Amino acid sequence: MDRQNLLMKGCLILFNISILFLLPECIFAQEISRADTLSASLVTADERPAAKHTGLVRLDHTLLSQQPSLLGSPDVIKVLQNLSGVSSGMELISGLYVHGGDGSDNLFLLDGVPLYQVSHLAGLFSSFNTDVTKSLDFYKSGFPAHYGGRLSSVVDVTTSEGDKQNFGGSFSIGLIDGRIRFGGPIIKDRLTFDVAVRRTWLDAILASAFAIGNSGNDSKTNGSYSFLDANASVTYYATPSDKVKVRFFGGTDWLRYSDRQLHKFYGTEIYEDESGRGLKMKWGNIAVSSSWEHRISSTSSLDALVYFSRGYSDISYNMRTLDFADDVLTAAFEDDRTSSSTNSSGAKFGYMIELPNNRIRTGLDYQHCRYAPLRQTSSGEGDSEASVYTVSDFMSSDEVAAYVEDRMNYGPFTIDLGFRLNAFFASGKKWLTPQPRLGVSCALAPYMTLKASYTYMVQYTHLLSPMFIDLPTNMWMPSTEKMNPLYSHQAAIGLYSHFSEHWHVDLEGYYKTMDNCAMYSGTTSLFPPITDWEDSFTSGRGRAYGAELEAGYTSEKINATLYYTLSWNKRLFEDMYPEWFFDRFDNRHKLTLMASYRIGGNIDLTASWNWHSGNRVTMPEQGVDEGEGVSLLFPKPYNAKMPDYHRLDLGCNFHKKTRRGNERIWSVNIYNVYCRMNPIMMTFSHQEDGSIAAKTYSMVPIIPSFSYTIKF
Amino acid sequence: MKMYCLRYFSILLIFAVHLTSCERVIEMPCGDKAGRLYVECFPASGTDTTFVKIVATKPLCKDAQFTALTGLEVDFYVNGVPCRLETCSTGARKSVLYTVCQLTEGDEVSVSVAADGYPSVSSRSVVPGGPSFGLERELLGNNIRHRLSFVSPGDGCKHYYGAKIHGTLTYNSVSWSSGAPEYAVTEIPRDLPLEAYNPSVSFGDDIVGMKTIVTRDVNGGMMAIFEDGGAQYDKLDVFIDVPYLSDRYDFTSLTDTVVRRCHYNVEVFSIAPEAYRFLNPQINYSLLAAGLVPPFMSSGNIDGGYGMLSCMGRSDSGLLKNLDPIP
Repeated sequence: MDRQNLLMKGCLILFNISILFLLPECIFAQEISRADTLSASLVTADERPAAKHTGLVRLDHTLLSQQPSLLGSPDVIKVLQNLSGVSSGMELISGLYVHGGDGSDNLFLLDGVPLYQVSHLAGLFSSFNTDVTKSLDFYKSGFPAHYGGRLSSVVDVTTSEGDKQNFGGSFSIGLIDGRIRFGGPIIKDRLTFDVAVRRTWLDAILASAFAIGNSGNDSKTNGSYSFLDANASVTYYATPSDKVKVRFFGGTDWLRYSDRQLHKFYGTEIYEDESGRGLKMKWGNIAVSSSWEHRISSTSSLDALVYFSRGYSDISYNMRTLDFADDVLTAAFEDDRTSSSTNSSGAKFGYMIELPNNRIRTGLDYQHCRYAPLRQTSSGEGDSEASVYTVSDFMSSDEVAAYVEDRMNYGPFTIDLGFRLNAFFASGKKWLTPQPRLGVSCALAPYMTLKASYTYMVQYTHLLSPMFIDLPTNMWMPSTEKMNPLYSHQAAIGLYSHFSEHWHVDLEGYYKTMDNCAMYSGTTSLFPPITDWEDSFTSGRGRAYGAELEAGYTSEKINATLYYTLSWNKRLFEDMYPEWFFDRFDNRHKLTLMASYRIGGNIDLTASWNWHSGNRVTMPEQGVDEGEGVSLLFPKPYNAKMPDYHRLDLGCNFHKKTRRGNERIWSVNIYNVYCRMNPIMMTFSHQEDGSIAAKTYSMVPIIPSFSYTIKF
Repeated sequence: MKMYCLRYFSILLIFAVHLTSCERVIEMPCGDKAGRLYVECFPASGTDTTFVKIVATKPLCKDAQFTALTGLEVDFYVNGVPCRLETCSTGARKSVLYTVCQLTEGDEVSVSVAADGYPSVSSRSVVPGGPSFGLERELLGNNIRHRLSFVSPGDGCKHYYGAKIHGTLTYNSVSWSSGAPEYAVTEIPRDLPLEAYNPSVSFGDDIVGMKTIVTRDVNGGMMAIFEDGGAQYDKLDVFIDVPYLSDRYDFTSLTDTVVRRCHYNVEVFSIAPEAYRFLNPQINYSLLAAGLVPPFMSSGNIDGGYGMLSCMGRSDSGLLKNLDPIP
């Protein structure tokens, strides 16, 4: 009874606080120990990652696991979407639009290996398994020189290595997926391993539903969807100064659909055959890497990494039709196949040395990429030879980058000077691009730091995407003579303060320009063109600027954080429209309130409230009536705004220690607690009174979910 | 490439949104309260007549006032020399004018339109060269199938074409009613409905139903509009079917006879890319409404207004006689 009363009181308190706009929560790790225990500790300003770099957010496993999750599965990208300076895009879709960028200009690294397919189910979930995520560095600006290749952000995920002393792991079941992780020492203190697997069981649920629907019918419809992630690592501590790691990641989605019908034809004899159509889709990413870290001395170290990463998709469709005439049954077929793959192999070498006033880091990166899109159609009838039509465009690229970074400390000033030189070879062309990086920070007071940065970034690969959602039909291609690399300049300035052991307030501003942005201007299609794809894209410019406020309160029991962003995001594509126009995700205001509250040692409550200005849509402003209905005219891109978006998520984790010392966690989450039907699309229709009526459609209601986890 | 299943997927997605979703009608702010002029003009080399269509647009606002087209002034210049325009039809919202003016490759056409209460609009375009094409005809049931063949010029670019088929019925009548033969010839132009097909599987119907071959009214006649596959093709074949009417010899009376003959002329036009996008936008408006595809602008190339002025290069087959009926 006491426990129930306590729970009721805790829920009531949390509810009231959420209504009154919770105190900010600091969700990134200032110290690893603090993140693990939620116990308060004093953290000075210069220890916090944000105080060292503008635009850097560092998260660890504990903080990621504590976020309210959708359908019982915590998601890395969805956590990042809550941060300031990041637009969420469309609801439920794991797009990352950072400082006005597009979803394709984010660099996703898994233990230093670039990934090309990072989402499942069109972006509903990301490929990063939080069970094995040890830490995550998220850069929105102030990119160090050892990062390159994308314009807008770097998501650098480091996975866990396995405990040196003890075996352990976790097992978790959610509404649509299950996760298992196991790791520990193979040889204590020398050799460890860590394995994690995540899989959905949507296919089992769908199979049952289809079986029920098909019973008693001549026609059979079947469909299934599933995804699987597997992470595995082996770490060898050769000497106290040497560590060798071998890692593997595989993430795959499968989607199948078939519609078959059995036919009987009566002629001189009875003929039976099947007609129908089927679809198979498979897409994902495989990454394999091996790294060596060698500590030369207490002040210098070497690291080397070799890797292979493959992003792929394979979509095949078949159709079979029957024709019965003159006592002859003829079957005709058509098979279509579209596949694409981006295979990259590379190596990275780095050296770091710490001097009294300097920390110098230098390195060399090499990457070879092969791009292989393919489209093949074959069709035939009866016994005649099938006709096959194939379109493919194999390309390759080589990229070499050398960088040097120097962190110089002079009294209250810290200067981060970086330089990266990229050489990119593709399509018979080469691009040589120097990329300066500069950061300056000044400790104004023990509790306050002022920091500014400037970065110049270049992106040599383009994501061919006729649509704005992450589909397996999208494909990566290198820059060509007709499609130059993308460039961005970004300047940021921030004031980071830590007034007391509990409070911190960060204020940051940024200004970013982008050149050679690409927008698809070809036919509406699920498949981008393979050959002459450059002709289907128009080139333009982008400009984004804004201010971000982050305020946080941390104590032993309560963590609360407020993120607010005021931003503008514009584009200029003169082939489409001659003036600057707002981008589709130009959300002028964005506010996120996140909080967690620990009740005793067994229950923690989480809440987050998200609000942002509505996404933009293109609205017709004029109509042409020639007597056969009104044709709508769209004069300007993204000239209207959908209603504002807001929702509240609540979560509760019940912890319990079992007799064997394992930890059981029941998690209950409610997505969109007050069932705000936020619009995801808007259509326009002409009314009889001459006005335009806008009809919004919403799809995401309240979604409760639960999961059960055992940690052992 | 026909992939009906994925087309169904996109339709299913949109259908699911409509079925499962909450719908709410909201009021949108009025963007542009003033009407504009919409102009369509597609001059072509080798043709006599060029039509200029002017429509007054309606602002999509509740309180916007519609202003009828009055005081219309339309100027049509070829290489700076004005061509006289005649009125074909006129109304409160729409007027169609025409000019009889021979155009050749390289001519610059400019049009300006002004009307009371509307901002003036103007545009200009240069006449391109006509395309080369091959033509075969065969009788298929009640239709004549025209097979138009185009060979890639090898420049690696996409090309856009239009095709029209004109028919002429010629009645030669002989009357012996007065004792001496009296001859009369009557020519009647035929508006032929077109059915156009692109038999290539690589760029026929697109996966979400976007057709790469469409028919619509252009410069006073039905035109099939299509594109080639760019660098990925060597030869493009397009089929256009028109209804077949056989030649006929009639005894209308004991003293009068009429011979009806049908002739055809196949015209093929080269179209500018912006004109092709205007005539065949290939936009899935449902996906556009869902915010899943880039925005589509329908401004065209008319400065200050909407619509398109785009010259076309013309080639034709010459007068073709009718096909003999299948015995």
